[in-house]
Amino acid sequence: MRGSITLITLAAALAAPALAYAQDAPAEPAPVAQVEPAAAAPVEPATAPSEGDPWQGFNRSMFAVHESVDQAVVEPVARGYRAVTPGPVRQGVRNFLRNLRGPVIFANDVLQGQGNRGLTTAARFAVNTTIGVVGVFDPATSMGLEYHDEDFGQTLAVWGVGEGPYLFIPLMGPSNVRDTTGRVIDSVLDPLSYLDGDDATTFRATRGVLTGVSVREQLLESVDDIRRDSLDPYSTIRSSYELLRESAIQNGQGDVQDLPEFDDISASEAPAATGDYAQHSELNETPVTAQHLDESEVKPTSRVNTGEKK
Amino acid sequence: MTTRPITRSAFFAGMLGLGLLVAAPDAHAARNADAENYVQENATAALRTLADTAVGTPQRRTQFDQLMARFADMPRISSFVLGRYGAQLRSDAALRTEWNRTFQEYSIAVYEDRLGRFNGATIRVTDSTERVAGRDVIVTTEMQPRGGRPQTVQWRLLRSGNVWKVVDVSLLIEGNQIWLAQQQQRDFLAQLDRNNGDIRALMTDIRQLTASLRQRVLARNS
Repeated sequence: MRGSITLITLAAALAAPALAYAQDAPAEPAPVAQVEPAAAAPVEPATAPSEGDPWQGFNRSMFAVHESVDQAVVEPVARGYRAVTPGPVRQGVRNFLRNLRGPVIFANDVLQGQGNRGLTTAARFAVNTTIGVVGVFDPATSMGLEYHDEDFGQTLAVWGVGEGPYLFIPLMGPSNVRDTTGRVIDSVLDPLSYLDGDDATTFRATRGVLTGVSVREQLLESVDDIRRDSLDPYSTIRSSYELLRESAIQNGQGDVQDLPEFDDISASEAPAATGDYAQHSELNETPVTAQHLDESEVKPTSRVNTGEKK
Repeated sequence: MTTRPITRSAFFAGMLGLGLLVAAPDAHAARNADAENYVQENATAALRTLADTAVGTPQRRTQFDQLMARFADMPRISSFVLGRYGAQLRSDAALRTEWNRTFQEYSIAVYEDRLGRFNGATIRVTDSTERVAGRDVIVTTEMQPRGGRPQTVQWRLLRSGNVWKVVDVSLLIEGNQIWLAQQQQRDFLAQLDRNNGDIRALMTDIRQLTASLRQRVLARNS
């Protein structure tokens, strides 16, 4: 029972890393397209396996189930939660739930050999649990103890375990075989899992429901954007998840030397004629080979599976 | 035991080695003030243009289009986001021109649509890192939306001739980074994979999306 509750209520929470950026993403005047590319055009779901997603047919079916349940139940509840709770209260709930993850994050810091980050997590937990009133407030951040998240999926990656096929689980969101395994281990690492009694069961259930609703509330605009503007919401969520997981495993900003090359395929040819563009464009004279073109494609960095970490 | 005299060439070689050792960390951490200034000026101008509600939507679109032409290296971005399918552009000039135009219009429509959320935002350069000295630089900025949380945004600039151009932008969300052109490439590749690499089919989808975005902007401003 506890397992199913956890599964359901952690749903959006686990999808959050893949989507959270969209809500906060500024509409900076970047010349590249937006975070969630978009799809006004209806697209037929693909069922053919693709690179990195050999279970695509199954995953798309699960994604459809997820969308149905979300639109029927989870999203309305999240909108109701937003309507009846002021922003500071919702922030306090987020802080409290995040603080509860402290022991799991600490355990994974240690398992990854990240002593300093482990100390930061421990100090954050101590400060916020006491001065921060069981984590409702977050004085640790203002003391310079910045929050970071770790999970056992990341730990496995640091140990060199490959990610395995992409996997979408209804209500749990995007994942892969490695990260799904990691979630199971994280529940073992969580001290709250070992509490007994009716009160403990009620607390865990409440925590699970609150986590799901809180995260979904944070993602309301992001999900709206993806549903409305994505060429293919399934693909957008998958690519977001993959890129953000790669970054999480590297603890944030990766090595700039790992960035892909941007070749100018047009060489000496005329550029697009939109607006004033043709007058200003600077064209690169470097000839581009087919090999260059292949290299320009984004590939997961080797760092991810080598155990190397910043 | 005999002592060997240090020759002049050995002395200079040693000094050169020491100099390289001392200089190496600095070179790695080098900032590029030119690129930083470029981002500060143009990003500020772009934000101002996008937030300028005193002008009509068509005029703002034209201004932003011109600004983007100066600020961004659209040929590079346009071909990059197609990944392995971008090779088709090399052999088909008409397709290349059509794709560049379609992608640029789409990009502008996207930012116009997102405009309302960042009205009044400011931007401040905080750091830069040279990926390739003088030619490939990552500029880090902090964007402060009005009434919102500061957001770390990084800009990747390439120098073509004497001109800097932005080719990618990254967001740092709760410590995790995502480069937007890279994500755009993955999404387009997924779509192209499903359409047997048909760039014109992708353009059809994107044009519909661009039209939808523009209608939304018009409805919001009317």
